[in-house]
Amino acid sequence: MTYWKSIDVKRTCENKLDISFREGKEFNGWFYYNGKKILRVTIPSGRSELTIGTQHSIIKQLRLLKNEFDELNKCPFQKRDFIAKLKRIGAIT
Amino acid sequence: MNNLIDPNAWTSTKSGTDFINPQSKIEAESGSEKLSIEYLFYQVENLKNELEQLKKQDLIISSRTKEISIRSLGDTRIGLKYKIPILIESYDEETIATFIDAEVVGFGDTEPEAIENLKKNLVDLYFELIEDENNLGPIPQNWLLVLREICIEK
Repeated sequence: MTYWKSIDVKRTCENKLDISFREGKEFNGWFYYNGKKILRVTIPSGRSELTIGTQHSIIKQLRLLKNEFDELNKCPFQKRDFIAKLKRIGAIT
Repeated sequence: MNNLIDPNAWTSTKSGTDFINPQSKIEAESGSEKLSIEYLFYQVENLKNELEQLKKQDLIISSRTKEISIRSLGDTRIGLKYKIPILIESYDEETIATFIDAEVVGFGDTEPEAIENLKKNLVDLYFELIEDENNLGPIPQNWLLVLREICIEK
């Protein structure tokens, strides 16, 4: 089981999915597609390593599977893969 | 009993019909195959162990989660029409509060902190959805329906 750091997950979401977060006690950001709000993700701030529960919550918010989330944070999973996944599950129409 | 469930006594065989227990030749009919009583005991013992493990896992999960309800959002602009259910997940170092219907979460070191953050996120989400009402994908559209049903502007 890979445990990701809060800041790394936030950075990945920003860099790979173009999600911009509002700073606060928690980071809240929207994933946009064609100008539409598609998904909202909340990541806790001020934590080094995400707990298993938090990680699971973020994975659910992003509509990903655990392995897809790991791939997103490592490298192979790109924005186009994310969009394809969201189209497949009907989150993007 | 322990000598009957020694898995080493059966490891060299492929199926139940081939099992030969070194201490007993007692066999029982099971369907069309003959299975030794000792092998059946062995299987039962394995199933009992698996069941115990599943019970423990279930206990861990059920002791970690509970459902509460909240009746206010602590905001001057909007409130709740009625109580809404919140799922609380407690971990060693963190608590997560979730309003499942609109997928709003709040994280915190303690339960009150997680609930407080959830309330703030719910209020923020409501206004973020209203602000972009005509530019929402299917999922946020559903969230807005839910929030309109439970929230009332003051």
